[in-house]
Amino acid sequence: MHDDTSVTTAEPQHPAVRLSELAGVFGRIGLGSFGGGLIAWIHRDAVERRPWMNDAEFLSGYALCRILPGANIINFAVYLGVHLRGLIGATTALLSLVVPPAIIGIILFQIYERYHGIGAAQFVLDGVAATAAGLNVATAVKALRRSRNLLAATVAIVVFVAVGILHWPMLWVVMVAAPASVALAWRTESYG
Amino acid sequence: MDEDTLWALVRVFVPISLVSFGGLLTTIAEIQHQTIAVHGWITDRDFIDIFAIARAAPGPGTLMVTLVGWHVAGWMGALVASLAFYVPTSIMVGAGAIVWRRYRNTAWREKIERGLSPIATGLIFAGVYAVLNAVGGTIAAFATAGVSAAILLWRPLNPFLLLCGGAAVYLLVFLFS
Repeated sequence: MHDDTSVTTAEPQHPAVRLSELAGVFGRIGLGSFGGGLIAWIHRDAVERRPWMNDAEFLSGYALCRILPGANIINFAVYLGVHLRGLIGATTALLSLVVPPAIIGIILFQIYERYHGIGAAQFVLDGVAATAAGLNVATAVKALRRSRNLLAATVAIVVFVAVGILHWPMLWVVMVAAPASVALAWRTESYG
Repeated sequence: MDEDTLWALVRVFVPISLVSFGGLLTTIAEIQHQTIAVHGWITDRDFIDIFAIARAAPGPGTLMVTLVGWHVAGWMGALVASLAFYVPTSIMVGAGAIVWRRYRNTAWREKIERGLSPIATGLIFAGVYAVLNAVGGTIAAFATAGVSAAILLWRPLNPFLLLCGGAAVYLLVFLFS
């Protein structure tokens, strides 16, 4: 296994991937996915089924996408697009991923607006929103369970209070808290 | 529709995009605060509807930003809000990919990931709190979220099925009360 600098040396060599194929993969992922878990689909399409990336490139790219701001899946679409075809590839992947669901979402929203006078429709959406909030709770709880670190939990609570309750601007809270938190992770192995 | 509103959308969503570590989930509280309290673009009701529809529709959760833009300023609003949210992070990923290839040492990557994790956790809880307050902050809303989280932590269920379940339960409660 060469885990060395093979990726750094030259432009990655790929059989010229057609933009239509890239669009097809991300279009399918965008429309066929409900409520998350999209990264597993990309792995299957880009690594297992096609020679677009090897596992190491995939994992390394995914790590980058998680560190940078933005949704993982959106970031990864851009990353893979750049990797395969540069700027035009990134644009194609991103648009194919977000535009079809956006159109469907807007149509759904217009249909809903026609009926939102009906009490039942609002009540049902209250239910969907509260259930979806629970999905988010599960995501956060998993992260907390993984760390079990008191200091990290304290940082999470401080950020929650600052943004959620005091409504301090998220930009400034994160600009201050993120470097501080990364510094703590640097010092303490169990932090995170 | 006026140009000022479109610029205001840019001024709201570009900063949020720049610090959206962890994706949309971490930005919900700020989006709620900016669009309802600061700009008065949408009501609590709109916010719930947009959040619920974005989660129930296919595709990435970031659809919520597009729907906010659409609600505020139609198709142009949808386009502008989406670009304001996607372009800054995409540029960072493109630039990051180049730097990434140069520095293959992974020791510091792992430290950054661990450092950002508690920030994301705190922000996600802030978003949950914002949504549940918009739904009325009732015990029923908090209980629903609690049950839904518990189910998902217990079994890796398809989230879409869970959302359908939540909708069905609320519909039954509405019909029989």
